[in-house]
Amino acid sequence: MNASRFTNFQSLGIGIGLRVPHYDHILSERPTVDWFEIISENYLVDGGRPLEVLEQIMAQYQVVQHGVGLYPGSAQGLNWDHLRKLKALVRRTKTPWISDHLCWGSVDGTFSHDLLPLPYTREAAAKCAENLRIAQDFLEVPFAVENVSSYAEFKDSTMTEWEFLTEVVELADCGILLDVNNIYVSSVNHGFDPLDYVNHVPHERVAQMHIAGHSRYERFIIDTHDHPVIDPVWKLYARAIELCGPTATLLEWDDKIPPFAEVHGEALKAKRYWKHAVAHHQTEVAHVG
Amino acid sequence: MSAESKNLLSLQRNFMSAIREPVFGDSRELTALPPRDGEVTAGFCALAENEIVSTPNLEARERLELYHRQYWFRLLDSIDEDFPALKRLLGKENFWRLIEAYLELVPSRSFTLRHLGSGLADFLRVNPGLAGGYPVHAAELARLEYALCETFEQPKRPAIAPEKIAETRLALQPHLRLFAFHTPVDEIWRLDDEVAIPVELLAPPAGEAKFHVAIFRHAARQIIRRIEAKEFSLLQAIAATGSLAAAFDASDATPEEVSAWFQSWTGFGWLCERERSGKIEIIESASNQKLVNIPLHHNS
Repeated sequence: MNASRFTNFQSLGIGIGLRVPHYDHILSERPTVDWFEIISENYLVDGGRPLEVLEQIMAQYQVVQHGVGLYPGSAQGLNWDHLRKLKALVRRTKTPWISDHLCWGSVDGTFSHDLLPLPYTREAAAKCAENLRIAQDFLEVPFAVENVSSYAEFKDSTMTEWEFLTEVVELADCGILLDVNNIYVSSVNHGFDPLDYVNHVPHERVAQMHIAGHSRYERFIIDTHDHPVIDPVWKLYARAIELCGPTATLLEWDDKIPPFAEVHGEALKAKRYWKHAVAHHQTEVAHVG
Repeated sequence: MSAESKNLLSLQRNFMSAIREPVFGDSRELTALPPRDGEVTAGFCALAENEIVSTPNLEARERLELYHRQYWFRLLDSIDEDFPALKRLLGKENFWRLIEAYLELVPSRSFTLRHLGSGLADFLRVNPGLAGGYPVHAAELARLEYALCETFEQPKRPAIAPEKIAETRLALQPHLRLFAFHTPVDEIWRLDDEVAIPVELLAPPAGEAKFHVAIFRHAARQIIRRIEAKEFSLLQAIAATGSLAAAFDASDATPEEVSAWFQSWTGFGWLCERERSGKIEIIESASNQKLVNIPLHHNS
């Protein structure tokens, strides 16, 4: 399993997202799970039931923080109140790294609660990188930025999404949370080859991967996280693991959530690709060496 | 801010304005894109056509409309989860009209959707025409249901041991909310979805608030509990003075009453040591709100 400065030199296996419908099962049955990913914003509170549950989970499991509200693509910069709350949670959870999305979502204090798209321009990349550097320095843990599913591309864009992601992470010197389902969703919505994306991102920076299901309509795909992972996404994941080596992987299932065992079973399918990937990756590394 | 950042900011402001344009009620059932004529503004169309790429599978306006609908459906679904009893009281059509009007005027200013309904009770008080004929019931029910959201995430401090109460400066638990309602909204909240609300519970309120309710968290559950008026006053006094003795001196409750209440307070751990002042919220009057009334928006 990959350990690098982007994972705080920690190796994690297959995790699942910690979700409310599974709280009772996890706390009573204590299933064996490599790690849980928590949505940071669900725990940015002074106390209450969320933190009570989190404390019990942390007593037995490794948790990794994943955010949906930092909005590093915001032209107005980061929200310092949000950053301070995140830092308090980082200290509480001892998350090895922290992640959030390469997007924006609020402006002038109004929140969309969505992961909104950015133009793929040098200027936007520079702004994102500036914000990510600030976040990473302030939070004092490695930051991994996630590619989002998108439904719109801007005419001003001067590069592909994977070129944009690469530019941002290299300028910010941060890691990548590579969401292979999001790559697939965007590839259908915008008409590119998802393998081009997976092949061209800087693999050494990939700290974590996401897999998920989605909803397919006649002319587009919506990233709903309410289905099992489809075969084309597994194939894309297999290629990503070949290129990046076995990487901490997380199954997202956020709507129509089935019983815990079903979600965990779906996540563990990722292991099928690891054995082959280890051999392939070692061969690749030997060639490079 | 550089010229490039200003361009990015301008794009983000325009995009936010577009997705915040009113949603049309039946679009919840629509899968067809793009938005129909008259459903979006010229600004929406200009943003799509000037900034967003069209492809053979989706036109620019359809792409922007996907974000527009996702914005609204996410917020509407969230409020729907937080205010089920209010929806039952108003009926679906009135409820969605209220929520759409509310979100148009009061967009989310918090990083979390949990706070989305924080202004709904106040909004109802200054917009009684959106309350489906039950303005006081609706505002109070909105307050009760939002208190459940607040209680969920408020801290629980160590409860004071009974023998230490006399020597401790007291506060109420941060997760405890106390209300003096004019309507029996706690009873309405308890009704099953399938049960019609009895007419006696919907009687127009008269006179002073007479339904006193405590909302709190206990043993990982949120509880709504009716309390007596004198018990409510005594708890208010404890919150204000920090002293059980001082509060008792100012109360006309009998020692027997206080003894019984005290037993339940300690059982639920309502009393804790004062660090910051215990939070107490009371609905007594709707007349001093400062929100501006707005014209009704009919999108459905």
